[in-house]
Amino acid sequence: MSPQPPPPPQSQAVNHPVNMIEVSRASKSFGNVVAVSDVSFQLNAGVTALLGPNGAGKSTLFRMLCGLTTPTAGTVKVLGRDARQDTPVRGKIGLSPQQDALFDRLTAYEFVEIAAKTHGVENPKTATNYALTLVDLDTETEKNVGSFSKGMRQRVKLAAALVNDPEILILDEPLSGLDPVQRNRMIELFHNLGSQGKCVLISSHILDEVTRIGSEVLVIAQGRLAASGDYRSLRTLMEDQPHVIQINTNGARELGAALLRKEIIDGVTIEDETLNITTTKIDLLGRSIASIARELDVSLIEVTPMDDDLESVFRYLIEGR
Amino acid sequence: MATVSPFRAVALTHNVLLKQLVSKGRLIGITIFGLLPILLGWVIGRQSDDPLEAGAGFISYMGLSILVPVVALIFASASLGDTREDGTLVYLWLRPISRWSVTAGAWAASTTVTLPLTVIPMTIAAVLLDTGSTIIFATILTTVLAVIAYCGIFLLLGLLVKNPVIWGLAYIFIWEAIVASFAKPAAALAVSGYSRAIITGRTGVDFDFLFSPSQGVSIFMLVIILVATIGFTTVRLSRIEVP
Repeated sequence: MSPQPPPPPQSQAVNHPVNMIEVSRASKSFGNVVAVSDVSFQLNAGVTALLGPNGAGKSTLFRMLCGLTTPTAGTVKVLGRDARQDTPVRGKIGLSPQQDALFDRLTAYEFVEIAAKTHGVENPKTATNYALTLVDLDTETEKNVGSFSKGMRQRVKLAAALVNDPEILILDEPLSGLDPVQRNRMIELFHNLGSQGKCVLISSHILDEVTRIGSEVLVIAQGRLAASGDYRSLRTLMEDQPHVIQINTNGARELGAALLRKEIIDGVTIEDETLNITTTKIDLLGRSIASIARELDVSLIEVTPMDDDLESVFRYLIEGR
Repeated sequence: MATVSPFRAVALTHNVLLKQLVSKGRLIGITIFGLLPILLGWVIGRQSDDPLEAGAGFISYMGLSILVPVVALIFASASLGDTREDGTLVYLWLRPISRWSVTAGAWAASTTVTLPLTVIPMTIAAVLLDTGSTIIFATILTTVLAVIAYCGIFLLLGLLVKNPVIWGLAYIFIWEAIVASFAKPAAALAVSGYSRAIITGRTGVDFDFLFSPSQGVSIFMLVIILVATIGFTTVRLSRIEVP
């Protein structure tokens, strides 16, 4: 079955005179620790990825959006309301929290059905079956969710977040624990929901994942919004920066010289049989390094990007280096 | 989207939390704990010269001041406290239902499981005292009232502190069992003060040193304790930082 958005009967056509999500100069501190600092953004229908390393403040920001915690300063509105104070607006939010917590003595069906019923879904059984089917979970299983694998528990959380056909979907690391096939299916589902007019906000700390989740990206680091906008512009920004690559080979000198001669790399240092290169032509390097090594009759033992971890991305975005 | 009526929300919260509360380990442990008053009731019924007075004292001190509050503590403090600790509170909190419905549902869940685990052993103990039906009915009534009040108190405690069982045991053994037994002003601020007054009033046993409001006042005060704790828990739930 191809992932589809949840059934439309419960949906109501809603015109949004305000932004679906509006965060204005929001900060959150826990004692002396600043978790979120002066963050502002607005979101409407579509899929947005919130990218940031662990501890960057993503989950705190999500908790503020859902009203689970109050901002120390600034305002956070969902559909023009404060979810902490406004009971009806909570019925329009679907949250899949990061923590791996479920009511462990319930079956997946019971867990999702309780979510449907407490949301006031008109036909909870149908909605429950549909939501479970969407995430590829067996609706008949008698096993309690306490015995489920991490991936299955993740999908139970997703089904519970989807069951009320929410206008706002807030998904905190929803792909963690899923296998590649399920990841692809869920990403397709998120895009379907976004194109249906839902506001889907998904957090991740994996750069590669974000490229597939959403064209709109918010980058958060050390509690601050480091960058926002279209992912391609962000990537272009990143691609202008030289990449540092480490290559282990039995012909370091020859390979380094060849790469320099072909102007594929900007600089090189050699330590024993290890090449440390810098290049702004990362795609060209990827396409040509194997054939150059073959021509030189040298072996490539290991090619390791040294700076494509998130810390490097954030260091660049925040500090410009 | 249809709305959820408050009473429907209470029932849903009750059902989901009841399933979380009832575990084999807890049930076996509490059942074994419940055998103690049964055994003591049987011994008192056979050994005491005045089994009614000894029985009323035993029900008051062993049952209403220790067994009932300890069992209520275990279930009521876990009812919302565990959901806060393990992160599942969000699945009830982030719903378009009123806060008091969640509180009332959690209280109802803990009361549902605490009642049989206390009323049954206490009733068997009262029967084994072999002093007639008055003490049996008095025991049932008082145990039910004490359970509903204690569940309210410990439901709130579960949201107020970490390690509520440790705090709760300290409260039970220091305040309810000892201080409230010897200081009348303290008894006026303890569930055991009112529950003892009901059982002594109904059985006609008179303990001179006991705080002794009328049965009507005692029942009223236990209900007030319940209402107040439900109210405070609802306020706490509204202001809590949900993990």
